[in-house]
Amino acid sequence: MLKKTTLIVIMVFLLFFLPLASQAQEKSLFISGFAFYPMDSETIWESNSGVIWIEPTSPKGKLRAPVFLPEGAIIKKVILRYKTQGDDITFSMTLYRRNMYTDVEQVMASMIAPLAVNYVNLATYSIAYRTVNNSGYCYYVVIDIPPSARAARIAGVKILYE
Amino acid sequence: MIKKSFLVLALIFLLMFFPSIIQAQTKSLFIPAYAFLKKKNEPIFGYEAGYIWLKETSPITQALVAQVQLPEGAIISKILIRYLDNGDSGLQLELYRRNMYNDKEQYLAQFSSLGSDPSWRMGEDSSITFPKVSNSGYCYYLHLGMYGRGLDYRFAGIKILYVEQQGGE
Repeated sequence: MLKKTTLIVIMVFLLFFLPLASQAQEKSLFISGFAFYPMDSETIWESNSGVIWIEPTSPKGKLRAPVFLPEGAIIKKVILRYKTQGDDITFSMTLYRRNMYTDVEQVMASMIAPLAVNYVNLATYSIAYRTVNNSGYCYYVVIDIPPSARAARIAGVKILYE
Repeated sequence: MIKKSFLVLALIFLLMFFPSIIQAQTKSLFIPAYAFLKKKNEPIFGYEAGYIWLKETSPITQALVAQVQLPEGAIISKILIRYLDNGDSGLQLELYRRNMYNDKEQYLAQFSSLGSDPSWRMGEDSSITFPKVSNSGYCYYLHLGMYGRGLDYRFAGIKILYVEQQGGE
């Protein structure tokens, strides 16, 4: 009788804890457009309602934002929320990591944003060095907007990780 | 004998789950003034001793913004603002969220400074709309409007109090 009870209890325990243990939950880091900042002081930019854009007259067009993720996190997906204006041509978004000891900068993910009249989410699953190592690296996103795409609106970058 | 083993198991259950039940502690995210960024290139801000102010040489009525990153499922209970306003209600701080799929911006909390005092003060707002954090759908940010120039209007940071939920949403 005791054995039977013990078995039932073990089963209850397993039912309770097995889902919790296997729940390598997907989490999100959502970097708003307001977290981005020009990489050059000559840049003419503006932001509003969590969206940032470069003025068409700006001589420079690069934006950057730091990325803070938990140690050991595994990056699964990177999503860019944006829209282009009129006949803008494309621009690029790149996620980098930089080594604190060797100063080597490495591309982890990169996307070319095509024309989009309305806001769209552009995603990539193609990620190199996907395990976060904060002891050796810092992480950041760079958006490079060429002169002909300067009015593009950047609403944010979402990073999905486990 | 059966009763005894049940008792032991009940105790184990309690020991395992009781701490997580009582652990609904209030935590803080302290965002310093130095984390705030300009919204556009015109304004001229000064940064000193952990606070920020709009310089007299800057165009009037400018704003700063800061990213907010809170744990998934956290419940925001209050915002506390450290400021100095010796003028005429020259600072206004708002906490917003923006949806990633429909681009809707919603306001969560707001504080307007009280003027005419040369000392540092603490402002707060505990009436939070949409207090539950959802990082999968929203990004969160602060908007600080500075309507007065010079050292009579200073901002030193904001503390967001929240309760972290076990397991998130």
